[in-house]
Amino acid sequence: MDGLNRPRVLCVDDNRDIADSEAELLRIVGFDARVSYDGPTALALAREFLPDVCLLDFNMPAMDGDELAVRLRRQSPGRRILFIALTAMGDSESRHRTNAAGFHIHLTKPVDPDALLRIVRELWSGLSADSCRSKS
Amino acid sequence: MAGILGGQPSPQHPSECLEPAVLLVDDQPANLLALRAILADLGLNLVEARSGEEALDRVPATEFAVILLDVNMPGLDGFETARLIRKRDESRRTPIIFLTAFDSERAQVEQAYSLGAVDYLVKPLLPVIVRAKVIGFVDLFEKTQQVRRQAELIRKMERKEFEKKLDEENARLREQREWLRTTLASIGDAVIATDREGRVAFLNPVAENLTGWRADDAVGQPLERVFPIINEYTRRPVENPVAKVLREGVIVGLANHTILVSREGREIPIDDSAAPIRTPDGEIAGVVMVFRDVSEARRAAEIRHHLAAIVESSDDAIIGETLDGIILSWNAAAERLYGYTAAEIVGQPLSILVPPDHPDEVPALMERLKRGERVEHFETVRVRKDGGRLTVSLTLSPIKDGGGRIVGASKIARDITDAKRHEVELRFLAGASAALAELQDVPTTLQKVAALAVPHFADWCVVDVLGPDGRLERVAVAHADSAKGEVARELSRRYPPDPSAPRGVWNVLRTGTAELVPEVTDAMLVEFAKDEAHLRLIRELGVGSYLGVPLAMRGKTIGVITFLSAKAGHRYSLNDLRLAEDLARRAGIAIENSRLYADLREADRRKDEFLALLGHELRNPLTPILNALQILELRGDEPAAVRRARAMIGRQTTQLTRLVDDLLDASRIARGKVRLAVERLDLGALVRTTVGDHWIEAESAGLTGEIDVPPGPVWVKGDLARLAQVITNLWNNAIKFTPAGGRVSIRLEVDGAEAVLSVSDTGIGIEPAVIPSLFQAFHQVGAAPARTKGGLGLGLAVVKGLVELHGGRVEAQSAGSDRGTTFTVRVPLDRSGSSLEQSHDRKRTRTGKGQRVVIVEDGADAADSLRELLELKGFEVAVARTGPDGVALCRRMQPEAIVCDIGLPEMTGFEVARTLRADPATAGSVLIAVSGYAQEDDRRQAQEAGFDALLAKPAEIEELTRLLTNPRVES
Repeated sequence: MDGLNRPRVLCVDDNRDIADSEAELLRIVGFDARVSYDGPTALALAREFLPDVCLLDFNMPAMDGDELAVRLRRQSPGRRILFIALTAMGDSESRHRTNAAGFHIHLTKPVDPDALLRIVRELWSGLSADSCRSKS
Repeated sequence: MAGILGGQPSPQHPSECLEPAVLLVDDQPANLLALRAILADLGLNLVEARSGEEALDRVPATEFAVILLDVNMPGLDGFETARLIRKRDESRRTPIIFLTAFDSERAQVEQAYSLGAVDYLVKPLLPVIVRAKVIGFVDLFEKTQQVRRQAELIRKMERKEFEKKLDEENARLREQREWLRTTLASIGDAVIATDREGRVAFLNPVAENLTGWRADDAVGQPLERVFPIINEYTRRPVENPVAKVLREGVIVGLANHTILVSREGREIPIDDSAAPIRTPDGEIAGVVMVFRDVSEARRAAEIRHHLAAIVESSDDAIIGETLDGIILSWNAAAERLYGYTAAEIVGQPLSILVPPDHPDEVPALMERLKRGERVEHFETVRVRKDGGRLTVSLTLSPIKDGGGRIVGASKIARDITDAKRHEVELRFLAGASAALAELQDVPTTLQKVAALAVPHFADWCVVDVLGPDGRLERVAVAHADSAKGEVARELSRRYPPDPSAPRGVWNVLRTGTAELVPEVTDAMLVEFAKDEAHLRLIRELGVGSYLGVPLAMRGKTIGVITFLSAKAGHRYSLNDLRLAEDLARRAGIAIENSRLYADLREADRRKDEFLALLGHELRNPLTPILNALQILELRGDEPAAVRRARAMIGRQTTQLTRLVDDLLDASRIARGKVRLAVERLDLGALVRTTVGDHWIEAESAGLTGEIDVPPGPVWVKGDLARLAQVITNLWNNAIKFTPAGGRVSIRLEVDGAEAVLSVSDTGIGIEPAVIPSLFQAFHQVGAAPARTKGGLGLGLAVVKGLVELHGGRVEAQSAGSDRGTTFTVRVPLDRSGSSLEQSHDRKRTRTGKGQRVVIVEDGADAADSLRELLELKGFEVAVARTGPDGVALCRRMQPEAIVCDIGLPEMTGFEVARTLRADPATAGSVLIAVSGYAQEDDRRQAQEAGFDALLAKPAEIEELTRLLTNPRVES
């Protein structure tokens, strides 16, 4: 993970401490992480930040995580973005919704920070291997 | 008979005709024709007479061998005719055979015999018998004639020459007499003949059998000996008929109820007649007595009478009918059941009783009867004379004649209208109860009840329930006839029930008592109708009977069940009223159950949702705490990162604590466990301090804050901490639901005897429909997820509970979504005067500066955290880890207060308390128990051990502080 090709992660949560701490942890382990605390801001930020991975809280005022995921994808057609849902609810209805919105991973709060980092790392390595293959 | 026995012909009227003459007397030409046909080929001179008078005319002209005489004739009847024939010398001995109807009374037969009938024939005539009998008498007659002719011969011929012939003739006659005797002996009736002294001369075998006397023994005995007779009832001897005959020379019949006592003592009811035996010159030569055992006949007659009495006294209608459906007999019960008298209906067709809508029923039943089938318990409907309908159970049996031919039917009809009704009622009630037991929602339940009532109990059933807006809601409608249902719907649409009407749904609702109109008359409809169109509609509905019962829940009338019966249908009675009331009662209970059930389900659902929300809300702060810990681990050497992580943990822990506090408060309020430490305080000052503490939160949310509190004190009586909580909750609530750029304001004023605190915002507002449930715990759950704002939705429930504990009330107003909200709290002012104890300084009242407290607790964490907290509050704290250590520590320190765990090693908290209370050095200390178990029983035990109070673990610091400083507030 060199400085030029650091994977970009967007952390969105209306609980600022969650978004901030996620981003800080990711930065510590070498990702380029940004935060926003609501959906509309996240959409605006994503336009220039072009995240590879989005860590989205599922229940947020103004715009829920599933709507945000759909709009982020629509906003960047052709780009490969990995979506991780973070939700306090692990029930089947939430899973159904995250699945419908195209999330790749559904994490239930509280997420063990080690586990979170491991998942993001693996997602990233899979993503870069894919892009290497597609380039070759 | 005398002639036969005597064997002496009487040559009064030599006949001109060679053929023996037979006189046939009958008023019916058809009968004469029949007789003639039967007798035609016997070579007889058949003389006919159409009446008694005509017969009497014929008798002198001809000597008849036998007279066949009809008994029933107009004018002179057979008996009278016979009597007159007998009176004439020329016909005194002519045998008479009576012709009687099949069903002749026994008395008639007796009379026939007493008039000297030799026999009787029963109509319709059986040719074989008629012929045999006639031939018998004709033979006799011819013999007699022959004897007479021979006598003439003797006169005409040489006596000597004919003597021998005469002897021969006599021998033949003797033989003939013997034959006659034999005949007599062979007769089915008993015959006894006596001589003129009344001694027995002859006894036939039947008489031997009945009297128990053998002829050999009996002959020569006085008749009284051989033939002793007594009256059945008096048991006294009856005069022997023979004596009377001998004395009076007439034919004597026995009275009824005469009993012959046989030689062996057997008692035999008999029937007899005795007639004089006359010599040819008219002298009485003896008496012949004919009698028979009538026990069989008597028994049969008795049975007949008995049966007739049974039929007549039966509670069931018993009807005899022909196979063509004509009524033949009709008992008293039939009269009662159908309303027709026997005289009115016998001879009428059955169809009178059958309702027009059952046209094929009687023919079908008759077909089955004709096939010899019995029809049992056939349930159907019949019409009374007055037009009323009844449900009957019919049992029909074919009636056969002696030859096995089916000639009619007997029918037993039982009125099962009531039983049927009862059955319907039971079924209805049972069905309704089952439906009501299903705990469905109220409309479904009531619709089921209505549907069950139709069509057996009602033709229409309507259930109206009082809605929350005070209007009647028609929650269930059922009807038997869909066309009428349309009319009913139109009626209720165009003319809804009138609250001012003296009768009907509203009256039942108002009074809570049922209405019963068994017979709805047209006059009632006219009075009831609002206008012509209305009258037309209700007439079209054709209601015959009406029943309305209140539907009550917990003694309050909440609706009405209306049953209507069509014109041709059932008339409601008091019995039905009771049934309907019973039903309404059950329905009321079911509704109550159903509502309770719905409430329970709703509460259960809310609880589930709340638990999910609780999980969510508790998990949320954990994520950043875990992240922060990780950051500390990874970057513990970077002061900035450490600072950030610490702040994060602090914020999130505060949030978690707030959630848990809210939860505990709401739960304690709900369980009524909150106790107020009431004091006189200045609410104005409290509002200023509390809002001041939280002003920063409004600003950091980008809101403008406003505060408007009167300058002077606003005295109320209350718990300072709790009122501060109310203010904080409302203030934070306003901030939470107001977007940046908005305004939150708090205002305190005095209105009469109340302090009025209002908190307004320009936020998202509240839909009016939501306002009533706003203060319910867990209310926020129902709102859209995006509207939830990191909380359990308990704040307002806590506010309401606390305000009410202060004798006040809280309400919310909002003009609607995005139009802002105002919460208004009203609490009573304290006008008790003295302003000296204006101690609203929380710190002063709540701290234990200088107070010594001993904590006895074996759990290190619990002990340490509690120690730190109490030290923060200003207490001087010492800790002991075991009971004995605790006791020792307390004796040394003599603290003002002791906080003691119950579940201690070595010595329980109870034992510690008892020890401390027993020691004068520590007996006066405040003694607080903390325990994981805080049920009523635990409290009682703690109190008994000497504790001042028991707190559930973990002990809430504010509560503990309060108790340590002022334990006597607790009761």
